[in-house]
Amino acid sequence: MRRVLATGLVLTAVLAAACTDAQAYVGPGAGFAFLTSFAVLFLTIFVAIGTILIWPIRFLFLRAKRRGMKEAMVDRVVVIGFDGMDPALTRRFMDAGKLPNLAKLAEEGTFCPLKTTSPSISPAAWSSFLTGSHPAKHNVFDFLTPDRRTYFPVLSSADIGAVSRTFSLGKYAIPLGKPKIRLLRRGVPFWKHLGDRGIFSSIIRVPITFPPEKFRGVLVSGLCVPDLKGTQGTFTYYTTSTNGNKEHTGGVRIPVKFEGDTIHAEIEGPVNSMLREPVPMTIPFTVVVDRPGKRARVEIAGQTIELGEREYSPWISLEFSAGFGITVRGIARFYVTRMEPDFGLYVTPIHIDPEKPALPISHPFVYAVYLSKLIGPYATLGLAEDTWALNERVIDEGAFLQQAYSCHEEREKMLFNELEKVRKGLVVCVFDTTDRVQHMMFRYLVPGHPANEGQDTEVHKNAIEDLYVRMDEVVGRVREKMKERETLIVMSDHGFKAFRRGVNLNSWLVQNGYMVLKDGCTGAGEWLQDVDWSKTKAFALGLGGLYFNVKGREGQGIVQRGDELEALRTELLEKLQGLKDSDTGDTAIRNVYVATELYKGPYVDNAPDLVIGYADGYRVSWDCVTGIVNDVVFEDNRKAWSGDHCLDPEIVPGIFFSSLKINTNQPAIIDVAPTVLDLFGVAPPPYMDGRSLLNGSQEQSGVRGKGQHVSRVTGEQSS
Amino acid sequence: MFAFNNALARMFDLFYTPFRSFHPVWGLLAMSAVTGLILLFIWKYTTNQKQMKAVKDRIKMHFIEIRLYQDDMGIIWKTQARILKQNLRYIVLVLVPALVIIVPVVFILVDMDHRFGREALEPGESALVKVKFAGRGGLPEVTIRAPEGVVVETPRLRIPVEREVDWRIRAEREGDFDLAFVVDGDTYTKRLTVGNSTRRFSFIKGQATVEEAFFNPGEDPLPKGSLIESIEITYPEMRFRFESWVGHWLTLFCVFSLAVGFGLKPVFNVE
Repeated sequence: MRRVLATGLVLTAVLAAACTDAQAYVGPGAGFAFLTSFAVLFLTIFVAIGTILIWPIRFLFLRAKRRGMKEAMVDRVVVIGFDGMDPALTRRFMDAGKLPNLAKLAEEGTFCPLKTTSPSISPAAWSSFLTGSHPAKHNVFDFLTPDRRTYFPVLSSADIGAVSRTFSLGKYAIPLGKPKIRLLRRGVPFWKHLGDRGIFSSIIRVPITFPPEKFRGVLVSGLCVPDLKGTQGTFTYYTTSTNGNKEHTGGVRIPVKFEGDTIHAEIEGPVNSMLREPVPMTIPFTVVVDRPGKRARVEIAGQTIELGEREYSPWISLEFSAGFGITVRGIARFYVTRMEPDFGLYVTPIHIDPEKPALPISHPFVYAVYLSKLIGPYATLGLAEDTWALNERVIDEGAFLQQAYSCHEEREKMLFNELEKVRKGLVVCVFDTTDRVQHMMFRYLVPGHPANEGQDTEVHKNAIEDLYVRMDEVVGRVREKMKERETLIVMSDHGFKAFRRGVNLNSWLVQNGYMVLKDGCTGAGEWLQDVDWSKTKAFALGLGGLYFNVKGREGQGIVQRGDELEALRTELLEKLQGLKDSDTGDTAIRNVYVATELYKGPYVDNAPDLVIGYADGYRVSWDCVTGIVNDVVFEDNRKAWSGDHCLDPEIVPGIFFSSLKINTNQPAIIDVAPTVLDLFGVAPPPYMDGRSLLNGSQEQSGVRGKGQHVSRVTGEQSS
Repeated sequence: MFAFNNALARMFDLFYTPFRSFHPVWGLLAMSAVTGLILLFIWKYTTNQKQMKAVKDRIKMHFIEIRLYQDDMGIIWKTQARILKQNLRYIVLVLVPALVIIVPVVFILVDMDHRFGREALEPGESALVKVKFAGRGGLPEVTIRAPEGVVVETPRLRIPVEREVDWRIRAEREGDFDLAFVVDGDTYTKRLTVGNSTRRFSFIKGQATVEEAFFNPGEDPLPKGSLIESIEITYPEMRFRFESWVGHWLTLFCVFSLAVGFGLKPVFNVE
């Protein structure tokens, strides 16, 4: 056979060599090859020559623009964000010798708690980080904010609108234009100021950067990027089981049946907005189960995935057809939770495919594409680690950790690529793994946590310690990449505490006469739909906010501004401050903050009127978050989501490590932006509430990597 | 080989039958499209699509990289070197499939060259007939016998250096005619085609070799070892016109088959 092939190839080569001019062309196949390879060759040479020719002009232009760099004390600043990394736990593990790299960083520079925002919630805190200002200046107070007219919760960071004009063609309504995506966060990220001075920044997965803004550098958006369905993450669970929960929060349960060894099902994608009567687009798939062999074969859209029990598939490309050749692409991972006695298949939320993003998730747009070609498909959803699936016990802790660390690895690859590429400028990367894993595994640290009842307390008892160790390893590897005249900052937006008991503030408001339900309603309807607004004075929404039903501001407001409002505020403040848990006698609410006293800024009116500072162990209850009112104010939290940070900000500060020594032991998250600007010699703009940690009364000097010192005043270096 | 060629020719004839009464360009475009499509599939199944995608992705990634980090000369140089390296990998990947593809393409192209390379003579049009002799030494005596409908316009022109004897002939009416050449008592023929350019016809007739069978099919070859090496009729070259563009059939074939190939690549998910 080989001989025949070899003879064939030789004959082919001879024939090709004997061809006359007219016969030399060998057809489209080879045409593709030669056209593309020579096009690439030509383009490379063209780019090379172009680069050489243009470089002197660019050099002069950049030199003129990078005037900030002349005054910079550093060539590069690297900020690593570990969402939710807690200072107390960090200290504990550091003292136990588990975090050698962070310990070394602390020894050479700084380690102290970092004051978070009020409320201590990631969207608010990271927005404050990137704008250097309090929430009243960036307008993000929580994940959700109430629509003042309808009381319905809306996402506080971004608004994805519909296309305003369409062209009707039969059953189709063809959009004329793109949907308008608005960033609701206000304020200017500090890397924009650096960019204005010609300083390049790489920003990876910083929360509340969707939709991405333009600046000099690259950015891939983080927390609040929706999934392909437009939600903040909706998983799907296909099961042959007829028992258990019929409905899931954060996910959809789809009952399926075996036909022999085969299951036929559909994966539901986004709604087809090209139809006059929009319906979700679907992709059919089949699963062939080999029960004795404990293998399942998933066949979807021409792809075949072989899966074992409790094994994740790689990212699978899903292409939803909207008609007229228009497709929307997403990616998802499949996971067989069990083969017997019931079959269960978990599918992650459908992430926007970064190779062909349906929405802008990066700046420039091609940066997301670039990353996908660099590291392959990667998680793009803001809340990439599917906490809901574990919370609803669709997957277990092991599967969750596997998924979370898989996302983490993708993020690491992005970070280390940027560290290689950006030799002068700013690199910021936020890892969410720390937040998600602590949310879901905190119960292992707390003996007697209600969520431990009937659950494993051994297998993953070191999950949080392992998490911190793993993050320490990242810091170690980053430190290896650091050179002289470079500064490393490792920080978090808030800390963590146990979430043992939930408080349903709305139930409390009903019991105390501040909220009234409609006649005949029990309050079981989600999103406060059973509330009689014409008789309600206050309501709780989101993770830390309490709002007054103010006349002229809320759709059906009844509380008059002035004395009535003041009296209500005082009354509620007195009653809620130090509120005791009626079951345990413990203090549930440690502090209540009045928005007008807490915030100064143009968006203070959008803030919750009162910000509730829960005590250690407490948080707003699950029912309260979803707007359900019942007769239980205090209840045990038995969900896997057993740790939280939506407490009194005073007891959940973040961490601040730096290779620099700073002028205070009480830095705040709003100080990071002015500090970085200062390091680059850029004056922080006046609107920033934070202050540079390099300024201050004491003589500023700091230790930086490799034993270098820098004088703040002169910028001179000495060994 | 000749039998194979004949079978192939009949197959191609069948394909071109619907286009006989139209301008040759339609047959040319149709064959280009079909070739594009067939070769696209051959390409798909003879290349390692996964590796091809990976290499192409790396190349695209590096180009984006140059755009993203354009301020850093060091990165640009490194990236360009990486592009060239990937390009080399790409060429290696396509080498074997390209060689496989050559086989069917050469048969198609040879056939097309005999259909679209030259135009048949029009009645009243003249052409040169060139008889080339094998061997060395003096030129043998040769005479031409033209059938009715073909006029030999000039006496023979002997070019000893080239071992060639030429005549100019003129066609007077449409049809296929056999020109006869008598050398040392032996008679050799060559088919002359007049009118109807959509048919395949032979321009040159050589001695019976594999190469001759392959590149000049359509007419029985001269006996091996005969005194005449080849007989050629210089038909005018066929040119295709679009507005102000005038070009060779191969150009049209290249452009159209590639366009079809590239256009259908995403449809059939081919890298």
